Amino acid sequence: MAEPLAVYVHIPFCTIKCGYCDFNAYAGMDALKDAYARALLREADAARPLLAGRAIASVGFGGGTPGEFPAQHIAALLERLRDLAPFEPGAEVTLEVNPGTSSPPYLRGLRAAGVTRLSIGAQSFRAAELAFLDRIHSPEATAAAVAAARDAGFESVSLDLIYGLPGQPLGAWLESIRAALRLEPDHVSCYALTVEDGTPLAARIARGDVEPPDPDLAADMYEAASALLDAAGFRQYELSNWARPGHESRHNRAYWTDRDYLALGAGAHGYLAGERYENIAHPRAYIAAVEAAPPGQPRPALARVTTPALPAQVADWLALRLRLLEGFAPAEFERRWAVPLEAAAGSVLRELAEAGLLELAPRVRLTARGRLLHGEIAARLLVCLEQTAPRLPRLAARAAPPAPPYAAPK
Amino acid sequence: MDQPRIRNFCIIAHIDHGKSTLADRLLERTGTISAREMAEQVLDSMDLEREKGITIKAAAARMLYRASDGIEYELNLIDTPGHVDFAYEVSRSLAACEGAPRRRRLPGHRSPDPRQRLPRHEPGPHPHPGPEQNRPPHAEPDRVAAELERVIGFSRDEVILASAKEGTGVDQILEAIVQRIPPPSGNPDAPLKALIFDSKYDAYKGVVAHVRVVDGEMRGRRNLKLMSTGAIFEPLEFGIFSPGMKPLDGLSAGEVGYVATGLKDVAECRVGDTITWADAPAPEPLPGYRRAKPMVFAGIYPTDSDQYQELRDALAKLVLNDASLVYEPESSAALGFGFRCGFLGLLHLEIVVERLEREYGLELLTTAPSVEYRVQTTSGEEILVDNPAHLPDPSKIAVISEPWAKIDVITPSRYIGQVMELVTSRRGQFLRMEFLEAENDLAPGEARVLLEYDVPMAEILVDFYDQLKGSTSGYASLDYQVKEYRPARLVKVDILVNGQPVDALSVITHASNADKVGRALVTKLKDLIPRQLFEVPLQAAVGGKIIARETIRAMRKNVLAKCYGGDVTRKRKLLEKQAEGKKKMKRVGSVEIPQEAFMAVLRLRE
Repeated sequence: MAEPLAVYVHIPFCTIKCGYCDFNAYAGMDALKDAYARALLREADAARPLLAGRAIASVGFGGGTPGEFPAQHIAALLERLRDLAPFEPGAEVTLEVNPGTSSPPYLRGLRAAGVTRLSIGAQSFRAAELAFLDRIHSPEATAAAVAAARDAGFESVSLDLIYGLPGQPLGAWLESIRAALRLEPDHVSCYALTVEDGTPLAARIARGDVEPPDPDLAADMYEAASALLDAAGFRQYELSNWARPGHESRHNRAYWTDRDYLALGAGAHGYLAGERYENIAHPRAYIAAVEAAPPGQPRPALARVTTPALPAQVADWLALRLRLLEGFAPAEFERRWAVPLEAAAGSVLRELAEAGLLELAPRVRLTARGRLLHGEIAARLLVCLEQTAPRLPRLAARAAPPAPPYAAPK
Repeated sequence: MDQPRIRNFCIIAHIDHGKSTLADRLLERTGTISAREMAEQVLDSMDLEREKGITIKAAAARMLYRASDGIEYELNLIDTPGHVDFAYEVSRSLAACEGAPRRRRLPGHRSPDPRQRLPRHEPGPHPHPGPEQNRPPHAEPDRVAAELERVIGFSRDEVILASAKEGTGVDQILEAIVQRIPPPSGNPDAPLKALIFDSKYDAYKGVVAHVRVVDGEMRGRRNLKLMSTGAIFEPLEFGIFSPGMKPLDGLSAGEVGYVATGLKDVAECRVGDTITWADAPAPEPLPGYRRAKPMVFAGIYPTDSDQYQELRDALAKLVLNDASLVYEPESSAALGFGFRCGFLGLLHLEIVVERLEREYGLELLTTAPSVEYRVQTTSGEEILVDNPAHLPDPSKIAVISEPWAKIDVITPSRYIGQVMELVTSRRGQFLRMEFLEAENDLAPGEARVLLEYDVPMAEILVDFYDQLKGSTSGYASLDYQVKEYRPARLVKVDILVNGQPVDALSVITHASNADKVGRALVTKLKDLIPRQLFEVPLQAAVGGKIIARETIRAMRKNVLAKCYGGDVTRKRKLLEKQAEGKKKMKRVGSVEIPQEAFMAVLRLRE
């Protein structure tokens, strides 16, 4: 049997769209939800050849706000996936919810549907910060959501937090972390606020209404958060993620470790046999495409396939691996790419190690400082690979992915 | 065609005053170009010319026009650039023709760049006053006519009111060209003398010389000779511009056209040279041109040092079409191998760099522009220094001299104070002032005033013109003429990045300004050089003494928080952008310096 795969399901609906968000999410389309649920089932059915002979290791529901999608639709989709492929023992089914829309009956419904892990979008425990972020919930609602999740029987609960808000003092950020820790989550994700082009937040900053985030202060916040979480018994396993032992997200790991993942839903991204692909983004167009697709098309909502150039493929592999704090062993690289790590990137790795950003032995991994400079490291690796890759013929031979039996019809 | 029926002319005006638009109208009206073929700025064939809306290369066009006397005339138009940097091109055009309608834009509009002075000191046939005007809304034709009368000496009835934009008055201009511009006066039976006023390179035809035949004729396969280089060639093709190249049997006295020489080396066929018959040469060549003298020097380096050969080939090709560009190889400890290039001015520099990047796909780095200094060493030698990095050690310098220019500023009188202040801050010396209009006819402060100063070239090189525009709400115009060299107390300010001097960042400045310039430079560089993996000190030094210091703090955070729903592609795109940015930087020691930093001295006043 081929190695197990992950499934990513995108739920693009939101009550309101937050000012900093540039994900594929839409407010005011609730009327589409039933048709969308039917389309997801149809798309899963169509993917049967992609799932043949494989087990599902994890399912991740992201959005948008999957926590506003009716539990019976989630249940129906999970049931359909189980019909199509066996779930591995201990398979993770993780779903993002908002505190404001996490009623006890709803969470019980999710648990009954087979969801094993909840990621609760707490973001902050200060009302003013939540209002700045356009979040519709209060700090109290987050506490209630965690309690409801425990009551519903969820054994793995994660809290998402955002730091580096304009004008946010370090103390306020630490207060949010302490408040989060008091709720005794199993997992915490800390994300720096990123100002994405084209968002209302970017426009407010451009107008001068809002201060741009200060990267040095954000670095202080990151380090302080890391210290607090370590002291509370959490272990950092990824650049933005901390977990109590045994509660690392399996689904998340799939993205960093070169595992295949199947994409379901509008704008969902997938990775199969070395090929990255993306579904049609708009929910209406997605539904129409899935409904209109002739039978036998395994990816009926496919919008585009990207096969990155060889240097980018290798640089991706390295950069994604390095997001995990465990890093990788040089032998793993050689197994994947058929050339020694030294030949592909030795000079730049040594330079980064000298600058104190990387450890090279026994595994290649980020130092504490390197964690804050992963982007710089990744960019340097890409520049380096663009120079070395053309000189490594064995690398080129390895990069060509095996022709998938389920290639999209021309 | 017979000489009495030929008129050779060009149009003179400030930049962006509508020369090319008027040319378009003339081409249309004479049916040289059908309405269907008509594009704006027909004669500006370079992409850059159309984009910037300016003429860089002179271009010629032959038109046939049946005048009101019933006779058909051959009118040869030479479209010229308006910017002062390209005065050289203008002088070449004028030498090739007998008359020039002079455009005068009406006031009420700010002229974007009226730096062009009428090149009245040029050799060659006399410009004939055939002024005409265009009419923007709120134009004041009477006032301008009066001004032309007073300032240039035209009589009021010589002035034609016309609008190239609306197409009015075009017939009167054509009639005036026929009636007022004299036909060429060469001798068709004398030995051939043809003046080369431009050239370009064609892969099949070799160097194509654009010529004005003064005496004799060129026809058939009869061998021709270039009088200054002595090169002999068999002509491959003759023709005219209409406005595309149109082959003809030959060209005779008075005509403007081209001859394909088949020569592979453009150096053998210089602009300004005279073509004659090889078997029966003319005794004397035509008077040539003042050779274009580069005023501004800058280093051009490939960002990727592997592109050095490509840059060399590109420059070699570019000079085939731009004889005013000079270059020679140089090397920099910081930047590696590149070229020191001499330009007519800053716009010329900008255009050359843009053409190299665009037409030859190069990524280039340009160092701050410099004038050419004369240095007398203590051992009695005189050396020319156009690159601050090459200035000898202060202990070996007896005297440094710098070029001065005389500048003419024309401005409404209400800005006199601002202009004075600006020029004085640039070490300028006031010469004289003259009211061009009587003050009592006009609202207070409106009368136009001519201010003359002597200013060191180096002071007006960089942002002087922008500052002048800024302090006069865009009304002032500037013209300059290079004068003599004068000794000055000049010093070199060196910049050390991470303790290491970066030769390409050195500047020469007046000793009294050195502290200010040094401080401004390191402050600017601190903004322009991104944070590195380690702390980077920036220092300015004069002769080993540190005069200013700044520190670029080490980079702390550069990490993408989230990879949403497995969207690795988006993450990669961001990284690719970062990686692209890195590749454009020059690595000096272990510090990555972006291209803008090498031009920092241009932006000190921002």
